Amino acid sequence: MKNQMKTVMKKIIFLTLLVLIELVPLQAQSSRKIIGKVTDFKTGEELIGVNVKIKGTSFMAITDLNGNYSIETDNNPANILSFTYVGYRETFEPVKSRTVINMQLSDADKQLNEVVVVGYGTQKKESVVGSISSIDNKTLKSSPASNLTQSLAGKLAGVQIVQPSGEIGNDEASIYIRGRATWNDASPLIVVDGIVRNDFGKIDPNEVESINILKDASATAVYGVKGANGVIIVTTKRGEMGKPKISVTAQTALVQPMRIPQPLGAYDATSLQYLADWGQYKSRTPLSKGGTLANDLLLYRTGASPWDHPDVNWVNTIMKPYSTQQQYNINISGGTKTVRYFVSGGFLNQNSLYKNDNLTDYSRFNFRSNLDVDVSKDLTVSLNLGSRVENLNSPTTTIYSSWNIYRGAFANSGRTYPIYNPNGSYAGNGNNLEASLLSSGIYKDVKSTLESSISLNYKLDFITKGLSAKGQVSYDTQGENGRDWTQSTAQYVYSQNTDSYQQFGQNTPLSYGGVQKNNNWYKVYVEAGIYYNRTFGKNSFTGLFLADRNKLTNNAEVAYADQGVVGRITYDYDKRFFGEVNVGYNGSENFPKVNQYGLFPAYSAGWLISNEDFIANSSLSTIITNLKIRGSLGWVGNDKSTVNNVAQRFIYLQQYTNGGGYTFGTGDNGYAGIQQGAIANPTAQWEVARKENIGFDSEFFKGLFGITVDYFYEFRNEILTDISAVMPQYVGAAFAVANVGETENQGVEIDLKHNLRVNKDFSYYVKGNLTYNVNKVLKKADPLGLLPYQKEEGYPIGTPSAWNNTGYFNSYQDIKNNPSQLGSNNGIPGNIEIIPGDLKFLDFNHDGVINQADAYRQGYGSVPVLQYGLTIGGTWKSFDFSVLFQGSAGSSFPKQWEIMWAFSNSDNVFAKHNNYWAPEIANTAQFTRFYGKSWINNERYYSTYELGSGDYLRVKSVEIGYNFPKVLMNRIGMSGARLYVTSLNTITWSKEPYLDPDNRDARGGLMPPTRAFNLGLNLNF
Amino acid sequence: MKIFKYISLILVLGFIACNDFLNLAPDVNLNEDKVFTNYVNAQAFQADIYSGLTQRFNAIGSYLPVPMSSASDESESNAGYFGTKPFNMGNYDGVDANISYYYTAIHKANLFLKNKDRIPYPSKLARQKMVGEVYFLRAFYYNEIVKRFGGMPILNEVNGLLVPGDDLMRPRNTYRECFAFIMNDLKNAIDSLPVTLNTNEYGRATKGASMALKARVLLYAASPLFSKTNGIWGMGGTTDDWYDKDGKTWWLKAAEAAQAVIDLKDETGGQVYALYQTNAANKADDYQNLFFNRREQGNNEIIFYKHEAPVGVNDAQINVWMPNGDFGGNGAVEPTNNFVKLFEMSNGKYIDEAGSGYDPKNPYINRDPRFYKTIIYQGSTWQGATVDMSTTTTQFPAGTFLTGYFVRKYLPEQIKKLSTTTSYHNWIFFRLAEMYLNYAEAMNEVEGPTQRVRDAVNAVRSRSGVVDLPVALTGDQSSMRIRLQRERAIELSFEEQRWWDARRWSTGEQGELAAKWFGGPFYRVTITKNGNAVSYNEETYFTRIYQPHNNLYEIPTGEMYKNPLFVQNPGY
Repeated sequence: MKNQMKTVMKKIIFLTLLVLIELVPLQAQSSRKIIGKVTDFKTGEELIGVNVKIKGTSFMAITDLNGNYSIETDNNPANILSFTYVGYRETFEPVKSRTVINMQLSDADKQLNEVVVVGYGTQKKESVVGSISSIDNKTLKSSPASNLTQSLAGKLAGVQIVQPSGEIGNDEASIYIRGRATWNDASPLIVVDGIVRNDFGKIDPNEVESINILKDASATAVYGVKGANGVIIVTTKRGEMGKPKISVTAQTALVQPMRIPQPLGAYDATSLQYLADWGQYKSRTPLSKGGTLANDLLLYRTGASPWDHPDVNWVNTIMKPYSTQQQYNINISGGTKTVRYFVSGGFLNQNSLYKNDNLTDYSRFNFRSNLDVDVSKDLTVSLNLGSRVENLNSPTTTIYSSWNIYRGAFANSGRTYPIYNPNGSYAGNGNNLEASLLSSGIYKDVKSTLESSISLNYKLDFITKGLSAKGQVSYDTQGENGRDWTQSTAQYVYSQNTDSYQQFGQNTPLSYGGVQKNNNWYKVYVEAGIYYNRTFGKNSFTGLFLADRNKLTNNAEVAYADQGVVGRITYDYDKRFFGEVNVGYNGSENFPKVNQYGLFPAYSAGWLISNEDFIANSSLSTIITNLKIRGSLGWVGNDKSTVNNVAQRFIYLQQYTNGGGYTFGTGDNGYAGIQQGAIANPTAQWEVARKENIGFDSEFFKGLFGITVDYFYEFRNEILTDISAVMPQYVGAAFAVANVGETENQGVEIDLKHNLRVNKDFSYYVKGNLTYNVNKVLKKADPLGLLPYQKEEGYPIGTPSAWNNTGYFNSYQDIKNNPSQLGSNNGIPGNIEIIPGDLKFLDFNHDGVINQADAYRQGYGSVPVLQYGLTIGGTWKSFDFSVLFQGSAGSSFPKQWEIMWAFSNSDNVFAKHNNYWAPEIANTAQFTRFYGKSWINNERYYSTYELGSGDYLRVKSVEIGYNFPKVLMNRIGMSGARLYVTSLNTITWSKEPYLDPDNRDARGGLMPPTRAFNLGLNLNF
Repeated sequence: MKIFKYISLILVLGFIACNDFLNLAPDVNLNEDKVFTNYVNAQAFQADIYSGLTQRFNAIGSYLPVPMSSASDESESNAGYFGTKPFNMGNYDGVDANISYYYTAIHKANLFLKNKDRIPYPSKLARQKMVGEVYFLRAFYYNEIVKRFGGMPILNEVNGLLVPGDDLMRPRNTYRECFAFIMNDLKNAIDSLPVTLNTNEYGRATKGASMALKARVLLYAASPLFSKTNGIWGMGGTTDDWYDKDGKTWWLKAAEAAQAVIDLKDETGGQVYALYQTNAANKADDYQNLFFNRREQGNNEIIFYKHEAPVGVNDAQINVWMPNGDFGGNGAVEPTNNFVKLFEMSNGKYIDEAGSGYDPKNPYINRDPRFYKTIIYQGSTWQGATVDMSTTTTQFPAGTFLTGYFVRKYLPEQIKKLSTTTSYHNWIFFRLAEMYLNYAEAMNEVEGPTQRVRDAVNAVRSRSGVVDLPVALTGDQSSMRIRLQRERAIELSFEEQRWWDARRWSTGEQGELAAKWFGGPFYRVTITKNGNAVSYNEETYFTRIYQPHNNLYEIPTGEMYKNPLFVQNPGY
C-alpha cells in the first residue's frame, strides 16, 4: 500500500508542477516523435483504433492492436494531444517536452451521456441541477441483507438508516432523507418504475438497476403534496439488444443475533432479590421459598434441587445461537431489434432465531418481467410485471410480532419453575416460554403482491422534432391472509415435598383458530404526458407536461386518492448554464374542498464551470474533470397525516358517532349513546416545506478524486399537531389536530471518492460519505407557562426532557452537601427517601432544590444527527474486495422496564445489576443501591441514567470475491463466474452494552438485527 | 401542432371533467342537526351525559386504581396500588385524573342545553325530564370540581362550547359564582324532574336526587373551609345575604334542604325515601345489605347511584377490595388501625373512654354493630373461613398485610374465588342516612344539640342496632359536633365522604382536622399467634404528609402552564 500511495502522491505533485510549468512559455524546437499506449481507465484494457491528433493540426495517428500509437509532430511544447474514440470522452493532454505519453481514456457513457432517473423521466447527468444520490445494482446484489432498505446504510449521502428489528419478515429499516423535519410520518415517498409504491425493501436486489434518492425541492417538487420527505426512486432492470444473457446467483448465509440481553443466573439473581426485598419490607423477613435464605441460596448455587430451585436460562432455551438463510436468483435478459426483455425469478428463505425450525420461517418468491416492444418506428410499448409471494410461519403467540416470547426470554424469571417437570410435562402455571414456542400452535401468513403496468411511448417527431407522448396505466394489488391453528398444553407446578402436580390449563389438540389477518388493497394509477426535448444551436430545451391520477382502495375503507398535473421546463445554454423550473399541482381526498389542491413550484440553476473555455480548453482540464455549482429553491408538501401514530382522515368533518351511553332500568340494559367526535378542523391541510439547497459536484484528474458537497436548509410549517397539551381541561372536548407546527432542518452532506488503477493487476477505490443534519422545533403545541428549557420549541424533534444524572450519592455527607431531592413540593414529587447509592440529579436551575424544574431537554432525538460511511474496495487480479464502515452518532432512546430496572415487571436482572452501588465500588457502580430501597426511588424518574445512546461504528459489510478466469469460462460456454464471501454487520462498537444501538424499543423487546456470514456464487452465461 | 393541441385538450378536459375524483369524503352519518332534530338520537346523546358518573370503588390512579378512602385515614393501598400514594406523601399535582371526565361530561351537557329547543319532544313531560336531568348532571359534575379546587371557570351552553381558533384561556370564577351556578342548575332540575320513576327509568336523576345534591352543596358551603374564606376559595360569609337574600344562615338553609329530602312525598302522598330496614334479627344486617339491593329489591334508602349491571369476583371493583390469598382478590384496600379505633364500643363509649370496657388484648369484642359489617379482622368469619391474618398465616402469602385488616362493607359475601356468582355493586352517591346526618350537623350549628338533632342521628344508629347517642357526651354544641364527625366517619365509611368532610371542617389557614387525621403516623396491627393465644401489637408503618393547604387540591401544574390567567390555590 505504501508504494501505491507514493505513486499517487508522485502523480499529484507531478501534475501540479505541470500546471506551473505551463505558465512559462518555452521556445519552439525541431520535430519529434511521440509514442504511447492508450488504455481504458477502468479496466486497463488496451484500446484499438483510437484517433490521436495534435490539436489544431493535421498530425494524427491511430492506435494499433496493442493500443500503441506513434505520432510525428513539430517540437512546439504548446502542442496538445487529443484522443478521440467512440464511446469515450475526448481527452486532451499537453505535450510539453515529453516523447512518451500514455493515456487512459474514460468511458464517455458513464461520464457524459450518463442518465439519471428523476421524477417522471430521466435527465442527462451533466444537466442535473437538483440534489440526487444514486446507487447501482453492483453494490446491492451480493449483500445477504434480506430487506433492500438495510442495504442503503452507509452508502449514500443524505440518507439515514435506522433498523430497529431483525425479526424475519419484519426487518425493514426506517429511512430518513436529510433527517426529519416533522414529528409526523417522515418516511420518504417510494417510486418504483415511475409509480408510487410501498415496501420496495422486498424487491429482489438482482432486479434493481438503480436506486436514486431525490433530496431537494428541485428534484421532488413534481411530486407536489407528497414530496416533502424526499423521494426514493427504484428502477428495475430492462433488456438490451443482444444475445440472451443469463445470470444465476445462489447464496447461503449463517446469521446470528447481534445482541440479546443475557440475564443473571439464579444464584446471583436471588441474592439481589433478597437485597431488594429487604428494602421493600424493611424490618420484615425477606420472602423466601419457604425455607431459609441461606438454604435457598445454597440450592441455587449447587443446583441440588432443580425442581423447586431451578436455574433456567430462557434465552438459551428459546433462541438459537445462529440460524440460516438462502437466496437464489436467475434472470435472463436480451433483445432483438424490436423486442427487449428482462425476466427474473428469485427466492429467499430465512429461518428464525427461535429454536423451532418447523414453525418459524419466512420465505419470499420474487418474479419480474420487463418487456419493451417497438411496435413501429415511433411507438414503444412496455409491459412491466413484478410480483412476490411471502410466507411467514410463526408460533401463534407471536402473531403480531415476537415481542411476547422474545422479550420473555430475557425478562422472565429463571428461578420459579424449571422448563420441564420430572415427568416430562411443561413446568409452570401458564407462562412457560418453551410451551409458548413449541406447543401453542402455528400462525401462517401469506402475502402476495402484484405490481403491473403498461406504458406507451409515442415519438411525435412528425409534429415537431423532439416531441413525444407517454401514457401509462398501472394496477397493483396486495392480499394478505393470516390464519392460526392453536393448541393449549397443560402446565404443571410440581411440588417436590409431596411429589404431586398441580395442573394449569388444559390440553387441547391443535385446532383451526380462524382468520387473524385479512387485508386486501388494490391501486389503479393512470398518467398521460407529453415530453419535449430539443436543441437549437447552443440552446437546449426540455419540457414535460403530465397529468396523473391514483386511487388506492384498502379493504372496504374509503379510498385514498390523489391527482394532479406536473410540469417541467429545463434549459441549458451551451452546456454551461442550466436552469430548471419544476411544478407539481396536486391534491388528495383527505382535505376540505378549499384546501384540496396545492401548487408546488421549484426553481433551480447550475453552472458547469468545467465546460467553460478557461478550463475545458486549457491544461486545467487535466486537473478539473468536472465542476458544477448548483442551487435550488422550492416548495413541497407532505400529506401523510399520521399524528401520534394515528392516521388522520377527514378531520375537517364534524362527526357524531354511536358510542358511550349508560345503563337504565331494572333489566340493566345498556342504553346506546351518541357522542360528538373530536371537534373538527375545518381548514385542515398538508405540511408545507420550503427547501433550499446549494452545492457543487466535482471530479479531478479524470476521476481520481471526486467530491460533492451540499448544504441544505428546510423550513417546514403547517405541521399537523396534537394540541391537547395547550388545551385546558375545562374545554371538555378533544380538538382535531391542527396545522400549527413549524420546524427547520439544515445540514451538510459530503460525498468523497477516490479511485486509482495502480497497475494492471491492482486497482482500488475509497468512497466516503457523511450526512450531518440538525432540526429544530420552532413551534409546537407547548403550553405557554412551561419552562423554556422544557418546551419542545427550540430543541430538535424528540429531544427528551429529563433530569441530568451526575452520579450516585456516595455518603450521607454527600447528600447533605447537595441540594435536597426530597419532598412533596420542595423536591421531586413522590421522592420520599434518599440514601447513599441513589442517583444524584443536577440542580439545573441552581435554586438549591431538585424538583420538576430541574428536568430539561437534553440528549438527542431518535434520528441520528450524523451518519457516515466509508467504503474501501478494489480488485487484485481476479479478486475483488470491499469493506464498508458505517457509523451513526447523535441519537438517543429511553431504556426502561426490563432492560433497565431490576425486577421491574417480571424478574430479570443483568450483569450490570450485580455491579450495584456499594461504598467500596462507588466509582465503578453500574446500578443504584439495592439495600434499603423503598417501593420507589429516583432510579425510575426519567433521567440521563435511563437514556440510551444510539452511537455506533460498525463494520457494516465485508466482501471478498473471486472472478473465475474469462478464458476458462468462455471455454465452457460461460461469460463469467464469481464466487464471493460477504459479511453483514460484522463488528459493532457502541456504548450500549445490552442492546443493538438501533433498537428503538424502550423495553428492548425487539429482536435485534443480525450479523450474517454469506457465501455466494454468481454465474453468467 | 394540431395533434399537440388535441392531446392537451384531452388532458385538460379529462382532468376537469373528473374534478370530483377526490370527493371521497364519507357521508357523515350523524351531525349536530341529525342528532338534535331527532328525538331518538337526542335521547341517545343525553344518555351519554350520564357516562361521566364513574363508580368510585377503584377510581384513583390509572394503573390498578384504588378508592379514594386510601387517601384518607380510612384505609391504605397495598403495595403495587399506587393511585392514592402521592396524596399520602403530600403530592396533589394531577393525582385525581377523574376531573377530566367531569369536564368532558359538562361539555356534553352544554352541547345538549344549547340544542335543547330543537329537539322534537313527544310531550312536555318528556322535555322536562330530559332537560331537567341534564341540569342535575351539570350541577353534579361542577360540584365535583368545585369541592376539589374551589372556584373554577364556568363554561355553560352560551360561552363554553369552544372550537379551534377560540381563545381558550379563561380565568377562574369565584366559589360564590360557582355556587350560584350550581344552585341555579339545581333549581331548574328540582322544578322539572319527577319524584318517582318508571321502572325502565331507574338510574336516572330525580327531583329527590337534585334536592339531595342541593342539601350537600349547601352543607359544604356552610362549612368552615368554604364559608370562612372569600373570593375564589369561598363564600365570604356565613349568612345568605346575596343569593336568595333571605338572611338565613347557610347552616339553616342546609338543614332545611336536608329536611326537605327526608320529608319528600310522592304523588300519592307517600314517603319517597326510608332507611333500609327489613326486620332482620341482627339489625346490622340491613346496614350491610343496603349496598347490594336497589329500589326494585325494596331498598328505598338510595337516592342516587351509579346504575350498573351486577359484577363478579373478576371485576376490578370487587377484586381490589376482596382479600387476597385463599379469597382470590387483590386485597388492595386495607383499613388502618387509626380508623378501626374510631368505632365505638357497643355501649356507645369511645374505646379510650373510662368504662368503655375496651380490652387491647381482645380488641374486637363488644364494638359498634357496624364494625362487624365494615371490617374483616383477625378471627372474623369470612366466606365460611376464620380469617387468620397473623404472621404465621397459611391463608395469605407472606408479606401481604400492611395493616392487618380488610374491608367487609361493599363486599357481597357470596361472591367467592373462582365462582361466577354476581351481585349488584352500585356505587351510591346519595342515600337517606347522609341526609339525616347532614340535617343533624347543620341544625347543631344553628341551634345546638336539640332533641331533633339527636333524633336524626339516633334514627340512623338504631337502624343498625346501635345504642342511642349518650346524652352526657353530647350536651353542648361542640361536643355534639365532634360526636357527629365520628358518626359520619363510621356510618358513611368508605363512601368517599370522609376525605371531603375532614377538609370542609377544616380551614385553609389551620387545616386542623384534616391535618390531624390524614397526616402524621399511621398504624397497623401486627398479629402473632402462639398456640391459641393471639397477641396484637400496634405499630407505625408510615408517616403521611398532610399540610393545611392540602384542604384544597393543587391546580395541576400542567393546567397552570397552559393558562396564564389561572391563579394557583394558596400554599402550592
